[in-house]
Amino acid sequence: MTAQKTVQKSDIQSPELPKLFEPVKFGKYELTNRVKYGACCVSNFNNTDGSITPRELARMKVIAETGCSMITNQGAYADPLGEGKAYYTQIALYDEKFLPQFETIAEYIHDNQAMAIQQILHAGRYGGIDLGYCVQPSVVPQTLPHFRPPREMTKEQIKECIDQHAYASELSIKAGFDGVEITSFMGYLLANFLSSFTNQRTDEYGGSVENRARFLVELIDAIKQRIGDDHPLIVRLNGAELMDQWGGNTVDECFEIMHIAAKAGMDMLSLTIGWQEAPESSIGRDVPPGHWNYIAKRVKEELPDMPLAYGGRLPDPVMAEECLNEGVMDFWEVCRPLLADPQLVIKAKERRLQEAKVCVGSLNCLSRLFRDLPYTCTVNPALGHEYEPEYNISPAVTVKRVMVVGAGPSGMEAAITAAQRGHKVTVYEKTNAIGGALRGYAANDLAHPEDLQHMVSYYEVMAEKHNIEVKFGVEPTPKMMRGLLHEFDAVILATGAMVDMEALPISDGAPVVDAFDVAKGEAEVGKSVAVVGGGKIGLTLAESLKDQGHDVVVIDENKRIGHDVAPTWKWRHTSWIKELGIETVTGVKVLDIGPEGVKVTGGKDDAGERTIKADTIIAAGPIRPNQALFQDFQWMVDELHGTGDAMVPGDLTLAIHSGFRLGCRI
Amino acid sequence: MDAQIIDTETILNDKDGWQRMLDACPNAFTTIDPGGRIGIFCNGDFSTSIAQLDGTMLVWHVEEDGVSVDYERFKRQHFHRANVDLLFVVDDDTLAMMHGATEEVLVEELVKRANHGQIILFFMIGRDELEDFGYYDFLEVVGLSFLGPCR
Repeated sequence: MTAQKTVQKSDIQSPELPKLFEPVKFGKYELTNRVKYGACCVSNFNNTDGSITPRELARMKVIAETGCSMITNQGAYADPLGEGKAYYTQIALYDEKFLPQFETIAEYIHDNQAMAIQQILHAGRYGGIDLGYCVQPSVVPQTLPHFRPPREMTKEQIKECIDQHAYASELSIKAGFDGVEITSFMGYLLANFLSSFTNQRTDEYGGSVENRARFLVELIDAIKQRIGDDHPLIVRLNGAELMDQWGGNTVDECFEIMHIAAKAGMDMLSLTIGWQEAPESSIGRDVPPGHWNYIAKRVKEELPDMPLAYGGRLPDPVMAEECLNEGVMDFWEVCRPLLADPQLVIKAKERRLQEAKVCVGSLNCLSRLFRDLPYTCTVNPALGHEYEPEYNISPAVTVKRVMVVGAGPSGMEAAITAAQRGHKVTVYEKTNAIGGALRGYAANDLAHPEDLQHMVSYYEVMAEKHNIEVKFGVEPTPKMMRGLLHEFDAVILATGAMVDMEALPISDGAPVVDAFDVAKGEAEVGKSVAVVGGGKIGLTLAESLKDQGHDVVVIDENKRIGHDVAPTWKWRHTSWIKELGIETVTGVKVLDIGPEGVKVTGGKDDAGERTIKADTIIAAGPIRPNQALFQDFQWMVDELHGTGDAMVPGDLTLAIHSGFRLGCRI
Repeated sequence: MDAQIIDTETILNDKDGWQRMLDACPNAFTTIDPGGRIGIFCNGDFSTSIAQLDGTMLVWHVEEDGVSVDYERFKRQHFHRANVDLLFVVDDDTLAMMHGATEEVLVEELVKRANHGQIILFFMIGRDELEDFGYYDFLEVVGLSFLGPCR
């Protein structure tokens, strides 16, 4: 009998993307494809005086090598005082002393045959981060407490600000950049002038749309005079502020402004959606990919000759190809997906998209900036650590036989990274699938489960690609390990976390099931459900079950639900809980979990003892690390390591990062 | 069925009713230092730009032994002079909700309406002061602490 090779997931090629990778002309520049790397806010990797660090240079070297044909360096503030400075370590460009590092970045980009763009960013309402105030066209107090009290700009200050932008643009060109970008992204100064929410001036810079756009027009004019016609000026403009409900610009007004900018000499429009403080999501995981395409389409209809870069909530190169073919845009502007996987564009070109990590839209990157921290990425632990050997996947000095117990995100990260370094890796997984708890979260996610499912698929593909043997349905025990003595040099326990049933007052006959079993579809659930534990697994299940028609109540001993949920997602859970009408009983003590339901005391109004009846009680907390094997395995293997939830129950970021770091050093 | 007509002016001027409502919310304001001031301004159906806001602002004074009610004139042009620490600009429906709310309803509804854009919450003092005077804890109590950038 002839042996047949099984087609593996890693063998299947992703679609060809001819439009995305076709050469295109922009002004005098011949570009190799239609991908623009967006400035993606700022990294916060630099010095507080605005100078660029080796850490930033290392990151930008990686970005320069992403395969994009146009690369935008992060926004620099242009005034010495720092009124335009939005983040503690934002880069500055108001003096020639800053030029050497900008020159290095421009060189990195040119070395990769890409066009280099420098963004000039005055944060306006979100600026003055080192000062006790921010400047705006008018005094409109903050709706986000992180930012500074406002001061109104005088006309002299407006002129000076325009001149500073023009000078910074001139310095950019002097440093070797090919073009300049100014931005009204997410509510910065330019947006503040343009929006009727923040611009209530009564002089020539306020009032009508034309007057509100005067700052923009003067800015375009001043910059173009300094940098000349050979160097394009890109303008980032809102297609929708999502602030109109509060008196901001309507979509029609946003389009009026685009026409004004085009007439004033804008060379490319980079389309953005939403403000930081908008009451509506614009880029979060709950916004379906492609949701804002209709706005980009309208731009192409109204301004057909204006090159348009766009990529808001458009994380997938295949979707980008479709958009290009449908005339939605001319360039795919991409940032966060390249933070998640800097090789994304290259993998797309080589038809290896199944090997790419996708941005899961957790917004860890941006939200950390508002806690004055460098940005990070849930799925790419190396982001921002590119210059640290500890984060490099370098060949192992000694090839080891590595056993990984548990095929969840942390175990798979460790396994894949170790295998990439040359170790021989075997994964033992007690279920019949890769993914661990992530699989359960994906199955019950109301937002966009495809993001999480793709992570699972990525691990499956990479396991195949790196010849990692995965033994399914095997749960290692000390007895089994004795039989494998000397077969492995190192063991990584990635056994995850578990509900601590022993900590719960469960009586005989109680209809209790484990939350993780429910998430995986391994436990039946009745019509009425009480979820004990309002952490992320409890909330995820409560929302999913309510959505399926169950009657659900969430019980938590904490005063607030969502104690272990990431800050960027907590609001989403609280909203869903309210929108779905899920009852929450918080701040109570659970006295008994019995056949009738959950007996509690305390809580709001210090209510006495009462029983919350339920057909099924889901135990969703407390959560504890599953460390059952550590003690025994310590005496059975040369090296023993733990990773992820098995060490400290945390979120997906901690699981992925700890697994990756362990894989890098083992 | 006819839509319910909300008489905003009557609701706004019902000082006794507001006092009853505040007295029924004993926990919400306990974190705020005495002297704290929270303004409520009703902007109808939000069809008026905040540039044109002009009218009566309801003010809740946090005192040693509770919260009292007062009124002040509010003009948008004097936004920066409004003598309050937090300013809630709300629509008619939200004002009516607040007026009749128990603490539980207030907590339940505020975050929902904030997420639907029916409330703009302006911070009239800086971040450090907000923290020092106990407003961060207040926002936590009423469920608004999760509002933030990057959504």
